[in-house]
Amino acid sequence: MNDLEKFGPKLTKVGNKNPYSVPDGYFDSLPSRVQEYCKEQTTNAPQAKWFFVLKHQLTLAGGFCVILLIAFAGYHFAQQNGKINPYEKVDYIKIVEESGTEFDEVQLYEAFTNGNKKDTLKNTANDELIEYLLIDNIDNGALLNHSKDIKP
Amino acid sequence: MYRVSDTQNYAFNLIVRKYQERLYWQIRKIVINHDDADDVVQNTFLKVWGGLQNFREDSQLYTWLYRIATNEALTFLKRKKTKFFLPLIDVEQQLSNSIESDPYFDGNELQAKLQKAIVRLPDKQKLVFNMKYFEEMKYEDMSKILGTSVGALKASYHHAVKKIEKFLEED
Repeated sequence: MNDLEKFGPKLTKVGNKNPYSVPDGYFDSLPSRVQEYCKEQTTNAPQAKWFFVLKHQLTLAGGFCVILLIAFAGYHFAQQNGKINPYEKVDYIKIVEESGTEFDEVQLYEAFTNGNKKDTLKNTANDELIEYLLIDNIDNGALLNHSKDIKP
Repeated sequence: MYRVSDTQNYAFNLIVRKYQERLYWQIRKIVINHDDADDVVQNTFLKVWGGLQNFREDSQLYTWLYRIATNEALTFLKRKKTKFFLPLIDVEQQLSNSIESDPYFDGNELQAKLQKAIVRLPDKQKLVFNMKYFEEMKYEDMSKILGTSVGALKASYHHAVKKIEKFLEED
């Protein structure tokens, strides 16, 4: 305390008496309570549930499943996009159904234009059309290219 | 005696009866509140019970017990601080406010002020100050318990005294 008088004069005035107290009989009952507590804690030690034991492994497995799911979804989506859509235009299906000998350029032209697009050939008679195709030696390929140029 | 299962219970009971008060007061001076100190002292003895068979006698029994008690008390305070995710609740301020209203505090105004100053100290300085000022423990014994050199302990104590003096000078 001598050093304290030098460095802590106010502290020496307070004194080092313990200012705290305990309830009556506290220390008399503490040993038995401690014994009870220790017995209780050791007999009721929590059993490690299987979930907590396998937590890390389950997390890993779950993550792997998510990755697989994402990969499968991506593959499925890609496959859907790669497929040729069923033809909506009935005309196109008509072209496929027609045999090569019966098919002519007029039918091809009608199939592509679908009769909805405005073009100069709509009002042209079939004979004139056939003559036009024969004279100018226009084949299917040329007709296909021409149909692309026609705007609706 | 405490390693043999037949006598282990008896030995443990002896240890509790012999050291309960000293350990309790060591804990109480850290956690302040009696109910908290009661919880911590029971957990301390539970740890003692669990570690008794493996106690290697490298140190004295009391040093070992004291170390467990100190760690348990500091862990308790740390858990209290981290219980609230945001630092909105100042645990030191709470402890400080609870001193005068504590039914098991019998000190006067000056002693209450001293306790409030001690609460504000960093953990190491708090421990050193309590051991030196209230228990008048030798630095060598303190060094074995806290695992710190005598020189460092003296420095800690000196800093703690200066801070407390400054706090006591304030209104």
